[in-house]
Amino acid sequence: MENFKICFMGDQSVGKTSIINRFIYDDFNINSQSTVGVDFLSKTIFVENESVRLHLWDTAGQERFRCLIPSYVRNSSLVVIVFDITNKTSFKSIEFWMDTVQNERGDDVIVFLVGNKTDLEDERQVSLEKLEKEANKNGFLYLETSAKTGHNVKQLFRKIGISILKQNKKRKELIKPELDENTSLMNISLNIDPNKLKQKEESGCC
Amino acid sequence: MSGIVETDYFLDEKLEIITSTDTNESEKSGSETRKSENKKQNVLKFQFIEAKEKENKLNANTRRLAINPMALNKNNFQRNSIQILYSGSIVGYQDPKTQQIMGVHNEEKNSRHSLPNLTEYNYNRYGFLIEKDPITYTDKELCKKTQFEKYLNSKWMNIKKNWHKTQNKKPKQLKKLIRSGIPNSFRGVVWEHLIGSYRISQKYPNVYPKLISNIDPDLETEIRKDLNRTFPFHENFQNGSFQEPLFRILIAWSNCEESEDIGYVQGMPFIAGAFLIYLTEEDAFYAFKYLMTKYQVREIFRSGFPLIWIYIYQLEKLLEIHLPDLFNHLKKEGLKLQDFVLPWLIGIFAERFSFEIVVRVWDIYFNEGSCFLLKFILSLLSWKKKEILSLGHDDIYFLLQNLSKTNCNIDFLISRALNFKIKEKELQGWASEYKKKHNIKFQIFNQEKLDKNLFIQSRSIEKQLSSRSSGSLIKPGNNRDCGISSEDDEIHKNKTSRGGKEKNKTKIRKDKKRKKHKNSGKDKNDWHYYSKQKKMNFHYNKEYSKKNTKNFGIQQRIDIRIIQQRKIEKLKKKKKYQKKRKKRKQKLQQKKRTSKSKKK
Repeated sequence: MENFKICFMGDQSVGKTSIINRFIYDDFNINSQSTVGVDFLSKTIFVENESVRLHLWDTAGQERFRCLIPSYVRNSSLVVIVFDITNKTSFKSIEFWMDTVQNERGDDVIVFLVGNKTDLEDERQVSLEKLEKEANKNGFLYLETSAKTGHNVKQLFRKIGISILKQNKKRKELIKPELDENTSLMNISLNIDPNKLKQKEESGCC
Repeated sequence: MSGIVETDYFLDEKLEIITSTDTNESEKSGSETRKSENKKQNVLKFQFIEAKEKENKLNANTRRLAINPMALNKNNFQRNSIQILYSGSIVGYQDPKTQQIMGVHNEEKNSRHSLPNLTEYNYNRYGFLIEKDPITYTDKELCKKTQFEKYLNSKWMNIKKNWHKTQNKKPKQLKKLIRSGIPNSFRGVVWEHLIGSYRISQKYPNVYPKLISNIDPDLETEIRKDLNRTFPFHENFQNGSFQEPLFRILIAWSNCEESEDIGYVQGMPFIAGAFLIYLTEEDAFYAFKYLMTKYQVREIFRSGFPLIWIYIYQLEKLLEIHLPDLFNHLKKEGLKLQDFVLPWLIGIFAERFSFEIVVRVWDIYFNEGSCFLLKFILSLLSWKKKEILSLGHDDIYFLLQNLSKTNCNIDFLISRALNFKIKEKELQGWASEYKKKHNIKFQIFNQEKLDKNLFIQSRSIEKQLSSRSSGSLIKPGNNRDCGISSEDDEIHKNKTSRGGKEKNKTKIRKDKKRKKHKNSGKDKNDWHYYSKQKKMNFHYNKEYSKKNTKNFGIQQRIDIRIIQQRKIEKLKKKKKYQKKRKKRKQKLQQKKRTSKSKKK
């Protein structure tokens, strides 16, 4: 079974922790404690007849803690940026989060934009179209969820699983042809170190 | 009462027999730490148990074992013994060699703490909701606990009466008592004394309202987001009755001079909230402020968290020395200390751990400094050492993150923490090493500096008020420029009418002075400030010298020790000198005598 790291980011009190709690415990607390620093949780899911273990890193949203986040983005294979649809400023700060991701990883990571709190439809300040635009601009995936009612939360994680598996397969395919060329070369010249080959494999994976 | 009372207690029940593990260590320690208590108490306890037993024998078919706790504590027996579990809880131990059975009678535990009772007592003694089954105690332990608490209460009553004497003259005794836990009813006052914020709210009553008066709207929204999310399981935070005071404390802190480069950071409400549980709003603010400044907690919250990195650096070194196998295992698994230590330290344990633990750790932290925090982390890690060594990367994270949720015996953890011997000099050396590397500098706040700042603040506020009142007397039209409402004027007028002619005279004198000053061409406000400051400095020196000899913090105590040592050294030197003198005199006298005798 393969492990994948997923990093949750977003402004303060947007609902990162409650989305994760909904997913793992199927539970919702109005008065959940604020996350300070980082939290870590994990769960296995079954997608397309494969079991995938997801490691969820739940980061704190306040400005002071932003300096810690890059180190968690560095090793993650997928990043979820959460914002509050009843709060415009949290939507605007998406740009900042994207910058931090791109500075660390470039375009190497899958990014998911998630608008939370759809149960508060009356107080909505960010429309779905805006989200679509923002996501399509950068080629990100997007969804709207509600941790309170559980709307779309399961779907979110299923999509995460599918996209991670896809990327993983792509990577493997990318590595394989290189290997074939090398092996054919090996047949001809026979002078290649086996150590070098190993190095290439590793660099491809991570 | 030594030895074992044998019964056929286990015959009727279904029993699971499992080989023993380390889980019973926590039970052991509880009784171990209190070994040193009086023997009289022990006798009392046994009488109590005997009486209980007789009752039960009469009442039901069930029979129970009474054991000598000392015998249970002896490691040899427990380590090699077989645990006997009944419905998940440890009932007794069986020695594999002799096949003796030693029991811990637990039936009463079930009857006492059964669920219907729990619904009546929803909150524990700290005001927190009881979620899971609390740690249950056997009769012996309960009896011990209540008697120990009585003993502590009587001790602390004496200490509370003459605090300064005990703090200055018997620091060792105080240290011991604090280590065994401050009783809940005294905790607020003792914390204030230890931190150094005792009665400061009474000395400077006008500072706090001034600090609250300015509220930045952006900050308000930011803080209000976290108010619902601090201690959600505490009684008063659930009501919402503590939320407004907490909000005001945080606002006041962010308006302080000392928080200029820090402001509000998540994690602060947990610390301030913990103070609120024990103290009134204003006292809690000062305790919070003094903790932030004097204990350098503000450096934890500064951007980049410099102090936490220093702690982590020190911890790495300590782990390498004290728990090398664990250190190597963590390194091998690619685990970073910061991932689990950082959230612990940001709220000084208040955010992650149950309140029972937090309070006990803080007791010792306030008295002995940050060294204890590191010791406590070491003890936590060493407590779970065996499990950690057998686990992989992810499971270790899980284990360490859920450490706070597992039931643990605090006395045991603390006694373990205190067994680690760490030299303060080493710690300071590592800290300064790290600071040099990364170019970090901390602002240092003494008790003196803080008090002085507060004094100046309160004086300036008084001055502002007085200047307003005097200004209204001379030219009532000017008030609009100053931004004073008309209501204030009326109040001032009433005051002046009550005060007799003398006050008016002095004010006329002041006016004259002011006029002179106007003629000289400088701003009147400046001059006013200058004259006030002169007076203030005078007053300050007078009052300050009286005040601060009483309130001693950690640093002052260290200073005193140094001074005492110097005195002792001086005395020793003097004595040596005197001895030499005596010897010389004696020699001289002998010489004289000899010379005289020769002459003769």
